[in-house]
Amino acid sequence: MRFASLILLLLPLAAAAQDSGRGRLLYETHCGTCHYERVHQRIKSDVKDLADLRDTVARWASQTKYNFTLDELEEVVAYLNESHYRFGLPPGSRRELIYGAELMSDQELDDYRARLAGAPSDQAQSRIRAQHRERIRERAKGRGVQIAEPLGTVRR
Amino acid sequence: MRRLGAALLAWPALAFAAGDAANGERLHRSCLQCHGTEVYVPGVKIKTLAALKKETLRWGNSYNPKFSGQEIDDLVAYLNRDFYKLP
Repeated sequence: MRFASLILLLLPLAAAAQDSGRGRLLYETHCGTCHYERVHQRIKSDVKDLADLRDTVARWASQTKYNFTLDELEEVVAYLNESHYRFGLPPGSRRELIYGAELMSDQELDDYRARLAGAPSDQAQSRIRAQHRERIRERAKGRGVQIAEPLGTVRR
Repeated sequence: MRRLGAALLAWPALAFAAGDAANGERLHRSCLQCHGTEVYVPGVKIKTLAALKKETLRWGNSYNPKFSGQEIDDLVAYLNRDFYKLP
């Protein structure tokens, strides 16, 4: 019986370990209750390197109700670096929402994807995204429509 | 024989719903970047499985990379299993 409850206790940990590890579980439990992961995709990010990421995680962790150990902070840093920031890692293959996609034809969407895929570097991709945002904003203005901005970063 | 006929008739309906909800849940992490699951309210905008698939396709086409047909089916299976529960 005691053995069974031990297994039940360990189950969530085992499930998380198979995915992106304990950092993700900690992040979702203690950070994801207040904000969406979208906060990690800001175009003008304050986080420029791994040291910034460590500082930021430690600063915000102190705002939660949970007392993170140093190891746990590092696990959250590792999860966020792997899932979003990727300092010192090869570019990831995360899915991104295309800005103003509702104003684009299927052909335009395919062309835009192909241009991003063919970009030689992260910087080149950033430039393509910036140009695209400008162009789509112009288009929305011309048509007198509002672009469906994604919901805010903070959970209500 | 008649029973076999009925099974064959039901086949396309089964194929339509053939998505892997567990994989759909994993894929759904891309959607959670911008919104929570509180946006999935049954019976308001989405009243049929076909409407759910259409809306999922519309959003799936707004991503880079685009969601494949199988991935859309997986997402639909997950959304229906956990939120819409449409027949």
